[in-house]
Formats: sequence, C-alpha cells, structure tokens
Amino acid sequence: MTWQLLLSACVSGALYAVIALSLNLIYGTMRLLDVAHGEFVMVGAFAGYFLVTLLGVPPVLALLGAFALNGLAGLVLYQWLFAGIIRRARSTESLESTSLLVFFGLSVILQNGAALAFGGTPRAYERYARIVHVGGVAITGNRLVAMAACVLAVVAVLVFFARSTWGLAIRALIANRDAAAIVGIDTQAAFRLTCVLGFGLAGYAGAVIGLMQPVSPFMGGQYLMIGFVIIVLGGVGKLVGSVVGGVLIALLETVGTQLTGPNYRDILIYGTFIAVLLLRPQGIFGRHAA
Amino acid sequence: MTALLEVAGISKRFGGVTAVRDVSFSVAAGQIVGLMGANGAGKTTLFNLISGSFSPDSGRVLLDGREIQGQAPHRICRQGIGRTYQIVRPFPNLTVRENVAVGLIFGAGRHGRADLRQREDEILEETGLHSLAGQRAAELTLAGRKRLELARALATSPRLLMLDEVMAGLTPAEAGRALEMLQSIHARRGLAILVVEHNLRAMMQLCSRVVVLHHGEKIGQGTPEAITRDPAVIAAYLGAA
Amino acid sequence: MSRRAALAGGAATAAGFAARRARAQAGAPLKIGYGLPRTGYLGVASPVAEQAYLLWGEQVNAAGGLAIAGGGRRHVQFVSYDDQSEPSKTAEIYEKLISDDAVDLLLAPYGTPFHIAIAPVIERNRFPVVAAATLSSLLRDMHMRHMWFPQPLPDAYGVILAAFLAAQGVKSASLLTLQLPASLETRKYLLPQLSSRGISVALDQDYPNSTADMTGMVSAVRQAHADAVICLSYPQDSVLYVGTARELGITTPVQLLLIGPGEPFFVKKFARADLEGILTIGEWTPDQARWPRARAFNDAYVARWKEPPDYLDSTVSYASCEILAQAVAQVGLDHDAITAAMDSMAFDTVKGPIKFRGVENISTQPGLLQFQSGALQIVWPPDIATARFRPKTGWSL
Ligand SMILES: Nc1ncnc2c1ncn2[C@@H]1O[C@H](COP(=O)(O)OP(=O)(O)O)[C@@H](O)[C@H]1O
Ligand SMILES: [Mg+2]
Repeated sequence: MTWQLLLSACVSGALYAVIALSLNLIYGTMRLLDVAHGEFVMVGAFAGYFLVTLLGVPPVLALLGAFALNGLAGLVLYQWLFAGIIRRARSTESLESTSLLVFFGLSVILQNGAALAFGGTPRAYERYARIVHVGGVAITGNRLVAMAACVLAVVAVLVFFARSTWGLAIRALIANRDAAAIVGIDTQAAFRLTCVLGFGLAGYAGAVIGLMQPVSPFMGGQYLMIGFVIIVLGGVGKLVGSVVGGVLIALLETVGTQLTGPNYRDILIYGTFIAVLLLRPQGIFGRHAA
Repeated sequence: MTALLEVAGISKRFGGVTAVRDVSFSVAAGQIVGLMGANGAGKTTLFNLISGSFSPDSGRVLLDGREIQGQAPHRICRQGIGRTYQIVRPFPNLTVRENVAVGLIFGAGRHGRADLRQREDEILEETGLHSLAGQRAAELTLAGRKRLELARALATSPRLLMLDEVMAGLTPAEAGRALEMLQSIHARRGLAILVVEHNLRAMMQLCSRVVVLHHGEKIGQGTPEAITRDPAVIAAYLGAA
Repeated sequence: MSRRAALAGGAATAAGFAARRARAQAGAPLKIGYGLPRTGYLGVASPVAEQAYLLWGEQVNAAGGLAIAGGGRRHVQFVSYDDQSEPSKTAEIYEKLISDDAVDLLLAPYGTPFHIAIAPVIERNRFPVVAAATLSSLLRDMHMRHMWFPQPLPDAYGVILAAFLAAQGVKSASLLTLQLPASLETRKYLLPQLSSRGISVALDQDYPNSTADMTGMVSAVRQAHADAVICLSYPQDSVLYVGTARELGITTPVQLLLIGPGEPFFVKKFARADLEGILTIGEWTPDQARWPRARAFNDAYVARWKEPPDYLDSTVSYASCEILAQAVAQVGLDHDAITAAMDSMAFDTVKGPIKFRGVENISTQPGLLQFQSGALQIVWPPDIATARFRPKTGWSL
C-alpha cells in the first residue's frame, strides 16, 4: 500500500513540478506575477481535449500540440502586452503590481471566454485506460503516461537549462537582468523564448491533466495555488527547487494525508508554505541573496 | 584617425538632477583613460550612458565613428564595449566558469562551443580565478566577486573595457594585485580602458590621461601629473577630499 | 438636487411605471428572471440547469408563448445574471430582478447556499419560486411560504438508501463524505437509518473539497472490508473515486456515488465495463415508461445541447419551469394566486406527477440509479424501478 501511495505521489508530483517550473520561468525570469497561470493550464487542457476528440490526434501528440499552441499564444502576448509592461516598469515592485492586475484581467477573460466558447460543463475523454501493474502496484495507464510525459518534460527543461547556450542565458537573466544585458544577452529574445517555454509548458501540463481528469473552464485555480506554494518552497527562479518542491507537495498531499487524515491536506500544504515563508523566505533550497 | 570612443556633448537628467551635463571626451584605441570625480559626480551615470543602460537626453556616443547612443545594451556589448559594475553583479547562481562562459558566448567574440573550455581557462588564469572555477559566484569573497566581474567583462572580448571602482573596498594588498592584473591584461590584450577609481596612486600608475567630472560637468582633463596641479580640479575635488 | 429636477425625476419614474403597465397589457414578452453561477467554483456545475431553463423557454415560445389564465399567450424573455458563485450576490440579484427589472416570474438559482440566500428576499416580496437544484432539508426546515421543493430531500434519500442496503443484505458500509452541504446532510440523515437497520459503519471519513488524490482513503476502504461503499461525493471527486477504486481493485458489490454519474461527461470518462454497476441517487431516466414526457424531454435536450441532460439538475430545473407554467395557466400571474395554486394543484412534469404538501413534494419517490449496459436505470424502490439491481462485479483491466 505504501508503494501505491508513493506511485500516486509521483504522478501528482511530476505534474506539479511541470506547473511550478512553468510558473517559475514566467515569474522568476520576467517578474510577471502570472495569476492567470491556472487559466493557461486550462487553455492547454481544452486544446488537448479538442485535438484528441475532434481531430483524433493521439493524446501524446496532443500534449505537444497544446505546448505549441500555448507557446505561440505566450509569444503573441509577450509582443503585444508583456514587452510593454516590462519596458514601462520603473522597479520590480511596480512590475509585479502592474502585471498582477494585467494577469488578473487575463484570467477573467480566459475563464469567461472559455465558458462562452465551450460551455461551462466538464468534458472528458477516455484513453490509455488499461490497468498497468508496476511491481505489484496497479495504476491506470493514463496516469502512467501522464507521469512519464511530465518526467520527460522536466528532464528536457532541466537539461536545456543546464546545457544549452540559451538555457545559460536565461539562468543569467534570472540572476540579474541588467548584468545579462551588458554581457551581450538579448534580453528581449530571451524573454520571448521564456514565454514560449513557460506558457507552452503550462499548456502541456493542462493537456496532461486532461488525460486523467475532466476539463472545464474553472479548473485552473487550484493549480495556480499549488504553483505559487511550490515556488515559495523551492525558491523564486530556482528551477530545480520547483521540481523538488513539486514532489514534496505531492508527498504531503498523498502520504501526509494518509498518515494524518484527508482533512489535514490543506493544513499540511499551507502550513508548510507559511512555515517556509517565516523561517526561510528564500525557499528551502534558496540561499540568501548574494 | 577617429578615436575608438568619442563622447560628444552628452547630458542626462533624473527629474530635477542633472547627473551628466554636456560632457565630451574621447578614448583612443589601446589607451587607458581615468575618470575622476567625487561621489555623485556622474561617473557611473556616464558609464550607463555609454554601455546603453540609459539613453542620453542629448549628445552622442560614437564607437569607431558610428553613433551607438540609445542602442540596447547587448548590441553595444557586441560591438566591443565591456564593463563592470561599481556594485558587483555577478550571476550568483552560476558557477564562476559559467559566468565567464556567458560573456564568451554572448559578447563581442560570439564564441562557439568548440574552444569554449580553453577560452574559459585563459580568462580564469588571467584573472586568477582558476582554482575557484567550479564554485558558485555567490560563494566568493568581495575581492573574488570583483575579479569575477572583471573576468566576465573580459570574456565579452571588448575593445573598450570600462571599470567602475574595481579596487574600492579591497585591502591595500588586494588592490595592489588588482593593479598588476590590470596592467598585465592591458599589456597582453592592448585594449582601451576607461577606469573610475578614487585611489590616486593607482590612477597615476595606470592612466595616460584623466578626465575630471564635478557635479556632472567636465572640469578638466590631462595627464595625471597636470591634473593634480590644475587649480580648478584642486578646488572642486582634491581640495574637498 | 433641485426641486425641479426631483419633480422631473418623479415624473419620469411615473412614466416608466405607466409604460411598463401598458407594455404588459399589450402582450409584451413575459419577463422571467434568475441568477446562476456562470463563473466561480460552481460555474462548472450550473450549465446543466441553465440549459434546461433555456430549452424550456425556447419550447414555450415556439408553441406561441406561455398560456396565462384568462389572458391568451405571451412569449417569455429571460433576464439573468451571473452570481459568480457567491450567495450574497444572488440575494442582490433577486432583489434587483424584483425591483429594477420588475420581472413577472422567477426561476430558482443554483445550489443550496444560493436558495438559502434568496429566501429572505422572496419571503419579504411574497414572490413564489419553485426551487430546483438543491439537495438540502435545511430550507424546508426554515418554514418558508414561497418556495417549494420538487427534488426529494436528503432525509428521504437517507431512508431509501438504508432500505436498499438492507434489502441487499448489506451488514456493514464504508462512508466517504465530501465536506459540502448536500454530502454532509445526506450523511447526517443516513447514519441513524443505517443503525436502525443494523448496518454497521466500518469506515466514516470526510474529506475537503480540495482533495486531489484519494489513494489513501480508498486504501482505507479496502482495508475496512465492508459490504458497501457509500461515497457522498460531487462530480470531481466521483471521477477520482472511480479511477482510484479501479486501480486498487475495490470489488465491493455495492458502490454508490452521490453526485456525478448522472452528468453527461461521466460516461465519456470511463469505459462501459467500469461504469457498470455504479449506483447514484435519482429517480429519473428517459426510459421510465410511466412518465411519457421523460423521453421527449431527453431527446429535445440532446438535440438542442448535443449532450444528454443531467439526471438530477437538468430534469428538476426543467420540471420547476413546468410547475410554474402550469400554475400560471391555471391562475394567471398574480403572485398570491400562484402561491395558493402550489398548495392545491397537482402538476405533471418530466419527472412524473408532483404534488406539494407544505413546501415538500409528496408525489415523487426518491430513488437510486445504476449503470447497466452503459445507461442509468432506476433500480430502487421496486415500484418505480426500470431494472433490477445487479451487484458490481469489479472493473475492467
Ligand atoms: N537611476 C537614477 N535615478 C535617479 N538619479 C540617479 C540615478 N542614477 C544616478 N542618479 C543621480 O545622478 C547623480 C550622479 O550619480 P552617479 O553617476 O552614481 O555618480 P558617481 O558614480 O560619480 O558617484 C547623483 O546625484 C545620483 O543621485
Ligand atoms: Mg559611481
């Protein structure tokens, strides 16, 4: 039974890691307080749903489709909206507060737009529904596919950031935007890439959720909360921190509630969140700002 | 022959404060020019105007005779101007080696990955950071971070290197080593340097020419010896110290 | 404000009243108001109710309008607002519908807290409202005089659920309860019924709405080895339960989910073999031959919305419109007359005959539905059943 719980925690942990990673890219790199992130996840979930049910795309490819669509939307939004906000901001604080308002507006528009376009009722499809046995633990195929898809995405993102030239540029940018610019990094180009990756990953995560659960215009809120909790745990701009934080939250949610009781879920998650805020505001894995 | 860098009648205001007013000077290729002035004189602002962090309100900045003022900082860097910050800004979450790599890859050299490792080693040797290559920048001492700031700027392959108080806050021994390092870098690479420093002795040893700013205006220039005898400079700056 | 302006304003208001009256007399559309959560946490649940309202309105207008006692027919026109899933907004909305929009009739909001929120407004205005999507005995116990409940209430479901379990020879049950009103109330009424029938509760666990993983809880269900699993869930966690119970191989022959299986997305989410045998509450299916309009409603709804109706919310919402329409056809638009008619009349709806005593529906027998061969069948109580109960035989592999 413990293995069953751990496997369940791995499934949600991998998903949470992708969501937190994507949010951390947007927030950590550009300091855009993306409170519409849950809605970007939702848009990806619908993209995945329609790709699968209307166009008959295999769900695994639909994940990539959702990534591409959302990434493109992120790019367009950057050019059209975010670039101006970033340019006009006088300080990090003012950028955060302006972007908070802008993203709040976006979240309302996306949620209501989706409700108008697709209706408010949940939609679901059934794929990879066979039960798979992994060393004595039974798991539905779609959850296994979802986990594998998330692990792949996380590894791909981490390798990209650890090894590639542009990954290095974005890490430098996260550390210090001005210094990145004066050593020759085209910050605009790096921000564009970040938007494609960040919003694309949010869409990817949404399509992954659609593999397992019904999708609806209102599904986003819970993932936004989880995303921010994990970012605080793992540290703003700390990509590996987001991955570890995601798994930690999933363990609290699954194994923690098994040890205490289902009603302790929120206490465990938000209690940890507040404890970290009080004791280690730079995140569990963050070091004091240098 | 045109100068490498020419600053022509440049001004910058912040609200009511005029930080730089109608300043002109030039730096020839391979020359080391000092920039002096009391705190708040506008030295850092001048650096920011040249490196593209700020756009000037008026005036021009020419590199090889081509106007560059108002361009994005990364473009100016790629045309051959590298700089350090007075308050150091290394990338704390990156290793020392990665900090250098960023400059090599994205700077004016635009180095590919082929001989990246070797070039990183060169710069790390040159700045005495080789033994710290694997450490995160956040773990360095202030002297170490100042050297890294210099190393990262060097990595961008500048023809003009702008150093903003790289010796401030160092012990006399550390400052002495830093001075030697600068001299050997200049000798080896033959680049032009624009240096802001309060340490008069260091300025005398390094610079062939000094520009003095006071309340944003240029009040004098000349050889270090001539400057120390200039009454206007003495009244405004040296006298005040 | 100057005296003249005030006078002018008063005159304008008076003119407005006159115009409104004239319009009403000339057979202008009948205004019917409601507020529903189109956004917020209930935005996902309410469309099944609103779609029933809209379908009914379209059908009425297609038939030439709503028949009014002594006054021919008038087209209906809906005036509706989004309450954003906030009960306090609902109260404001109904206040506005009555005073500003001057609607002729009102339809119900969505969800128990929202019905509770409008109670003072409609009682003060003596405005009759037929309740719809609410599963709560609280409201009935508030002794309201202008709201009636066509949906059987949780205490009634508690009684028949215990009777059903006893009839299947169940000796022990595991209970999982979501911390939302309908679930908590059902549990409250179910527990004494179980004990009076000698059914022990092997596991009694409640869980918050934020629950995103049920592995731990369903493991506990498996270890409890009860004869029945009663999961008092809402749609999202109903999906979670089925997925988890299948992974953990819960083979209990009786597995019931409170809300969810009757919603259209549910059958798309799971293979027929997995749906097979799952129980839920409800007493309506399109196949109930004794209610001839059930099938016609189902087909019209599917044709209009490209998805089947929700067996609970869509049907009761539609039935609430029918009840109101039949009262108006009998006594006209006078609110006191409608209130009186609710007491005396018997209504014929897509849910079968409905008759109120006080505010409670005494005609509709609460029932249980079960998935059999991909469709929901009424399996309890026997006199309205469309099929016999079949024990759940496990899950697909
Ligand atoms: N970003 C800025 N916003 C407003 N005022 C500034 C800014 N940067 C510099 N200043 C002002 O410009 C003047 C020159 O500052 P600075 O260039 O930093 O001097 P220095 O480097 O010579 O000590 C000072 O009065 C300073 O307060
Ligand atoms: Mg300065």
